[in-house]
Amino acid sequence: MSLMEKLDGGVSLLAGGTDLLVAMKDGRLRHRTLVDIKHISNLGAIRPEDAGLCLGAAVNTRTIARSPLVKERFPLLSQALAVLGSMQIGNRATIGGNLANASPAADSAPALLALEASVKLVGPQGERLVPLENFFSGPGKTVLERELLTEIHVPSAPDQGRGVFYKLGPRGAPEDICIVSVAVFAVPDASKRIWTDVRIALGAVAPTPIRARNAEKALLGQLIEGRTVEDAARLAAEKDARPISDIRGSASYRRAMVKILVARALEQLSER
Amino acid sequence: MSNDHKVIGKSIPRLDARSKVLGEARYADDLSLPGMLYVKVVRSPHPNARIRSIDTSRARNYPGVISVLTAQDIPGEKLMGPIIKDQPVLCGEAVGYVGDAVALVGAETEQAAEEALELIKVDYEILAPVLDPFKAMEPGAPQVHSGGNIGTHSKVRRGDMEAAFRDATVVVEKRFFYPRVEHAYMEPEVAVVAPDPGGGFTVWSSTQYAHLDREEVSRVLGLPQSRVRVHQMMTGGGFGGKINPHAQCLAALIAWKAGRPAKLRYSREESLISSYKCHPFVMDMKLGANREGKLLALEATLVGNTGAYLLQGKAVITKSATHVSGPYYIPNIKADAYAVFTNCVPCGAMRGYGVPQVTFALESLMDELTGRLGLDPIELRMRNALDTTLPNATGQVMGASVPIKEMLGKAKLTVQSLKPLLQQAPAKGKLRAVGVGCSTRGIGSIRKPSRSTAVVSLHPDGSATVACGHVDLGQGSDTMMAQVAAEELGVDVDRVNVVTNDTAISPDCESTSASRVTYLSGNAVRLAAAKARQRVLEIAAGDLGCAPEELRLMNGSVVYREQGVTLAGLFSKHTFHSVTSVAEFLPDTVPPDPETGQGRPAGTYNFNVHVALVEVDEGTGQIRILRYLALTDVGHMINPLIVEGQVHGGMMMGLGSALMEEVKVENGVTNTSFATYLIPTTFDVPQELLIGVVEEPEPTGPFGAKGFAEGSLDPVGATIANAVSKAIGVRVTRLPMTSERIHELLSQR
Amino acid sequence: MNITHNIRVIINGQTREISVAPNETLQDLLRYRLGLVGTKSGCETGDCGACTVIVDGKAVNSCLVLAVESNGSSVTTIEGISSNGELHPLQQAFIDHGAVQCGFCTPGMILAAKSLLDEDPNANEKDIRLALAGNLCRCTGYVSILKAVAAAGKTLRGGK
Ligand SMILES: Cc1cc2nc3c(=O)[nH]c(=O)nc-3n(C[C@H](O)[C@H](O)[C@H](O)COP(=O)(O)OP(=O)(O)OC[C@H]3O[C@@H](n4cnc5c(N)ncnc54)[C@H](O)[C@@H]3O)c2cc1C
Ligand code: FES
Ligand code: FES
Repeated sequence: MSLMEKLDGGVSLLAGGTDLLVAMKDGRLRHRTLVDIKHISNLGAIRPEDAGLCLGAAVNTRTIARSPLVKERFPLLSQALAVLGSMQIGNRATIGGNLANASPAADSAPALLALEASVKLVGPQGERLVPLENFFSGPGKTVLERELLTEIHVPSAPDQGRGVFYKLGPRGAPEDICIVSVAVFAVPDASKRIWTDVRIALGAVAPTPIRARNAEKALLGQLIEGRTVEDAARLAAEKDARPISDIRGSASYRRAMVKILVARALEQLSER
Repeated sequence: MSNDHKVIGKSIPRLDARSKVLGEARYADDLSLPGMLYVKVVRSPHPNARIRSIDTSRARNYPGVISVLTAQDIPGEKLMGPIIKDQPVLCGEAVGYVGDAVALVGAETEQAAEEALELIKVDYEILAPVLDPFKAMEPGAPQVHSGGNIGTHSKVRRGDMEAAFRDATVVVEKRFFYPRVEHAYMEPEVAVVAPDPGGGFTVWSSTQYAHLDREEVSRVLGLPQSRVRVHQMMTGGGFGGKINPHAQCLAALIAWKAGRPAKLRYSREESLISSYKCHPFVMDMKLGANREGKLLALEATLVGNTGAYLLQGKAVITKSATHVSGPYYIPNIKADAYAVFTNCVPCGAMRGYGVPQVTFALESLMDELTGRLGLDPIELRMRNALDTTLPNATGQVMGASVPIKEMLGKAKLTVQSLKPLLQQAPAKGKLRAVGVGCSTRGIGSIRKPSRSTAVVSLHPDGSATVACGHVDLGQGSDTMMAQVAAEELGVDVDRVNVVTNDTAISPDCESTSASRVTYLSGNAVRLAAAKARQRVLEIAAGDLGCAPEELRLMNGSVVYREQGVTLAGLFSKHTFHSVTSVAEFLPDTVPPDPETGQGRPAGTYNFNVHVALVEVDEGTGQIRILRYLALTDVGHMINPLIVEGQVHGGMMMGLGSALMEEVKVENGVTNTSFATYLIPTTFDVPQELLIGVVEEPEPTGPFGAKGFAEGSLDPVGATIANAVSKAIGVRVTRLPMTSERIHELLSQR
Repeated sequence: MNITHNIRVIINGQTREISVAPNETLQDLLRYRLGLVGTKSGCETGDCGACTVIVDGKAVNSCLVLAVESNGSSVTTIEGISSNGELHPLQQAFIDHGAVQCGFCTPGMILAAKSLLDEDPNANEKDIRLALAGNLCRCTGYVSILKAVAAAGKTLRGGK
């Protein structure tokens, strides 16, 4: 923990290094002392936790994507992590690093947001559990304060719930940094006529990965039908998304894609 | 004809494949010499600036630094370039683009060199840049060079274009945009240079033209060419991009100054920022036809942004102008093509060399015509396709090997076979359509006749050494040459050693480019091998008292009526150690006239017809290629495996510029890594990519072969764009067709 | 920053003790200090896959791994997959199918494919595409590479 005190002051935590080494090479970060966290024992496990999951922060994303336990309990997460980087990147990139790096386009974030995951942060002052939605504070910024992200807790989800993840990349390859990503987890009532719980998360359309609260509200308790889907998709695009233009896509295209992809995800989840 | 051949027409795996799969093949960066220095380059951060002063004093004193060099230290010529020598080796007075080289550091370690770079202070007077070619042509625009911003104007004049447009029943006209594309060879530029004890220099490089390395290094160092020897190392791709030995010259300067070996390897970012690209074009094209769909007239204004230096720009522009009418007979043509200077990254040669650009514009207009005439796309093309009697835009009549109509016939069958897939209702929100595109290209450089020379030595054990100057960049030309020689000399391919990579051994044959190697060097090798064989047979015939025609050369023996005389015996008797012959091949060409573009610029032409079935996502604008057929015409196949590889590679490179690739410039290049300059991956390979090879022998080619390696790229952009335009009901006029652009077009419907 | 670390790593079956600089990548160690230059360098940012090696059974980009991180690991490079001149079925398939042109991507491709087939001998065409998506090739258009890997998979399964 004494090392944690020095974080930022020339010391960085090294997980898979797939973000850190690129940053060091292009000069954004220089001459730092690195502390490799991959061998800290309890950071490397995937554990069932009630009907949910506990993911060690240093587990690599490809291991999670291929884990039978994850596939069975949270296919949405498995689906999202399967397209996080190439095979080589996925073999190194850790889930904790993906979150701590806090790219608005981080591919693990929308799925974990939709699954209402929390992260455990451990520092010299002790430990705290932070809902993922409150973890990001800006592009590349989080609430981490000289702390180590140790675990990601994914709570159990209703049995009838199903999820979908869409990653729209400029090329369609897994290693593309996305233009827009959308994860939706939705729970219908027993009759499959009404949305009882819908969580929509968006990537690369705001300073951080976000939940589309306006869109979700418009669906809650509503009939599962084309009109509600359309309204929600429109709200997600117009009220929730706050995209910018960059080399991968313009703000207006991103907005349009949020609408399309949210609608598609909801339609897919409406199919009985 | 193929039936009589032992090795021609056989799918022999490339001869260096084994060393490559074992990781034993040596590329330039794999080389390390004792005492070797590492070179780093200070590059301009400004697109247009005057250099007031350069302060290198701190860098000179930095630990590990051995030499620091600026323009004033260059002992020889200060300008270089593949064709037009207008790029400063190091900028002394002014910089012309972001990435222009300004100063050099040679140090004991790469890290020391890197750190010392930051200690070099360049005082720039920053000037307003001009980045847009149309702005550059306006009066009062900043002048990139003193002679005005139009670097080249190339013309084609045939018939009476204006009168023909008056006669046309249908006229279509549009402006098209083709992107600036990066070669993206997987191996960045590398050169190692060492001083020789005798006062010369040896260069080991990644290069597409070893003899140009020799020429430029000797010019820059002020040495005779004979004092510079270049070894082309295994080269990790070129695609036109490694015909400018800038890294070689920079490394040579440090080696010269320090008297020690020096290595310069570009980082990927450095390569993306500073190396020349494929020319982006803006093309205004107008096409007229009569009611029967006969093309009457074509007018085109082609503007290529050549960036800060002309390099090969003039040749690229001329190639595009002379190919403006594609594989069609159009009696009346007026085309004006310009290379315009701007403060963008320079553009030069890239696979395609101006042809994919005009092909995209022309083929798009052809499809526009079909709509207006109510004709089937293949039918319209069939009615206008060249044959052995009709002239192309340069007035050249090809006389033989013009299989375009046969290819269109095959394409038609494919289109028919795709009907069920097309009619099958696609998933909701998906649009499907089929598109066709055709192209042609002259083989070899058209700006001047170009000679190939080969030296073949037949050894007493029947093996042979072939020396020829066209280096192999991975396309397999060394294997092809070995096959040609082996066929003539009656030996197995593995008994032939082809040396193309050493300027002290291999004669200069110009660069490996313009799809010229098979046709030109294939001929030279064949002629030289035949000459060696003939000489041996004549000697043996003298001994045997028969005619040389009664003899055959087989596995190191001269065979006469089932009797063999070994070469070893024959040579020894006649005091030969080896029998060596030299031959040259010079195609019968006439460069295009500067005022009219008329001439006979190429020895032979290659044709391509492609068909694509695409599916467009109506919501996102994403494009998927479901089926693709690439028909190519190679004269005669020397090695089907290699032909296939070239067609696959060319097609996928074309797919890149069609769908995703574009080098963006805002002051400097902004896509500075492969995370932002995207090229196709395994995911982009069409579900089904078929190749069809049409063989109509080229009488002047070696064993009927001709070049084709660029051709498989030429019509890809056009083909996919035609399919997409049909699917979405809006004409695509700009490549690449990113999902965002297609989405924009969809919302215009 | 002149500290060095002593690491012990098994490279192509051979245990080696090496002292490495803290910022030295595995790629630099292999290429420039151990002379294992079959591992290529095309970008150094994880985007091209030319530097792919296998560490403890997993394909990784050696340009994004620090040499110190490989302490205690087993590393396989292209130099280590043939035995006594006998080619690995992937190497043979790459030759036979014309999957090699300039060859610069080849070592990385073969190692990525090997790690896939080791992990999943029944990998189908879709799995192969996914596993090789991080290996760029500009020459072949991937078609023959995909075929070669599928064929090698079949050979490794005993012809099935
Ligand atoms: C070629 C390439 C392709 C990529 N493709 C994708 C993609 O498709 N999708 C995507 O989302 N990302 C992609 N990435 C980005 C990257 O791989 C991921 O963000 C990855 O998950 C980062 O994890 P890591 O373990 O490598 O992090 P590192 O690089 O080790 O660390 C990243 C940052 O997080 C900090 N950190 C790491 N772990 C912790 C912890 N437990 N507690 C506190 N701080 C920590 C580090 O100090 C550092 O600041 C790609 C990267 C590359 C190079
Ligand atoms: S060199 Fe490592 S991925 Fe390109
Ligand atoms: S063979 Fe050249 S990059 Fe793949």
